[in-house]
Amino acid sequence: MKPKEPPVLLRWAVVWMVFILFVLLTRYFAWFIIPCFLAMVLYYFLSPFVDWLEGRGLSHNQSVCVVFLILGLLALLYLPPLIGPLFEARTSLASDARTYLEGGKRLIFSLIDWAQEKTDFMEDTRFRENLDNHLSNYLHEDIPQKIPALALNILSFIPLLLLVPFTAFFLLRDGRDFKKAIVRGIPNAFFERALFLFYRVDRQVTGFLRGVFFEALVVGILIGSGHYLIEASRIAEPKHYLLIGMLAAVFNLVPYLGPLVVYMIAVIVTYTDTQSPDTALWLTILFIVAKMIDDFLVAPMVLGKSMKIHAVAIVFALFIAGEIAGFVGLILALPTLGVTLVVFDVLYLTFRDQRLQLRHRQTKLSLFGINTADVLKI
Amino acid sequence: MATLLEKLLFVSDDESEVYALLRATPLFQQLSLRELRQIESILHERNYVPDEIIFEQGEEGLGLYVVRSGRVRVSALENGREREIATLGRGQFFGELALLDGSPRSAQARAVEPSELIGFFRPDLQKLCDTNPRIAAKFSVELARWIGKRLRETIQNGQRATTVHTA
Repeated sequence: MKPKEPPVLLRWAVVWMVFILFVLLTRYFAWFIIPCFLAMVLYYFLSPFVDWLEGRGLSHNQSVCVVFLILGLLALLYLPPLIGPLFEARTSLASDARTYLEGGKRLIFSLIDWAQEKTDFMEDTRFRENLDNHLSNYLHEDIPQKIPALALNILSFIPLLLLVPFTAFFLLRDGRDFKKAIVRGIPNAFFERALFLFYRVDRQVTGFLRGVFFEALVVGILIGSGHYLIEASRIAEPKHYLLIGMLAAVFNLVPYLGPLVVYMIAVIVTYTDTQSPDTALWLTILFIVAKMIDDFLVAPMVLGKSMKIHAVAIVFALFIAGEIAGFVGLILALPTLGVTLVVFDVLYLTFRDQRLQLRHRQTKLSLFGINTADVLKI
Repeated sequence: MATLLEKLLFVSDDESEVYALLRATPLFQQLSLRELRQIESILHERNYVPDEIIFEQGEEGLGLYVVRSGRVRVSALENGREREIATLGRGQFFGELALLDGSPRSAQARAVEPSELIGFFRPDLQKLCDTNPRIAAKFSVELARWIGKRLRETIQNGQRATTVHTA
């Protein structure tokens, strides 16, 4: 007799409770959870290469070492030329934050002016004046205080990021033994069922992480190269395409809201750099095309087989995670919700199976020398 | 330090007891030591107490078990009566059909005495097909040969005593 699917109410009540608990933990232990999450992403990304090398005759340890040697060499070759301009762009963005925000302000006002010209009802409003006061306060008082703190916050994460390859190395080297050790601890009666569901979780997490990684890569390259073309058509030396591309890749992990935020940053930065309102239009087209390619081509291809969660649940999870744990919460919200759902189903189906429960009890009794057949007769 | 370096760079050529056991098992006989080493890394060891059920008849199966030590009794319920099919010892295996699909187990397996079993499961075989098709192909051919052999025996001997190794 197979156990029934868990009741919807119970399922969501438990899943939301665990989700909120995890997000709260993320808020206070972000320094630990972020490197672990990134190490997991790296682990799932590299494990096919290790498997491939093993298939070519290398031992497991040798394969892991070779993969990390190649990764180290690639990092040495490509990271400095990549990080250099990025770092410059970052510092210039931070130091010129006010310039760009002023540029953003000009863009908004030119839009309001345009709207006031075209429509009658906005003509007499004090909307422009109010917004001007509000933005001036923000730009001259809030921003100068917030930028250094934000920069310090980001910089404090860099040493922790060094933990990522280190953790990923040991996950790859010893992960298999670790999994086996966990499985060994499961009682015989539940073993096969738990193992089967364990594989299911593994497959879903693998599919999800690889899918998200690939999606971020495609979107990053699309937006980065598109942004380069738009910038190059207006100014001699495009400088922000790499940063915008990378931001687009990272923020793509946050469904719905992420691309919108990067779009706004891209429009403000490009408008300020080029002083040309046309760029906003071209960027809008670029982001719409990138989003369509992502939604209709890439996402169904790479995420089609991984977990499916209702859009309302995703938005709900994003609001909770964003409110409690900020940006980190937004990035981790979707994988956390997906894994929590699968783990709940796994545990429910395993431990609510009456036949398995009975067999487990029989085994425990027989360990004490009690004949289970006699017990059952009573 | 030397042992860590040794562990990272070299692989001992000593055949462990598990390799010896696998080499003596027909399904794994065609595999080289290096291939057996890869198979060994995805096997699961389980211990059973006397009279403990390993799997039930009718249950969805996940894989095969090789007896490492102890004895396992395979029996099936026919017309309400339990019929013993075989008692298996070291090096013998059962449940291999479950490696191919999740169809219900055709018999019950129960440990007669304290037994150590080695399990090889369908998801691992599927992963092996993706990551190392050469080993998976060698193993699958042996599995097909074994099932074919059982089928021929069934045809020759009528319908009796055929489910020993296909539970």
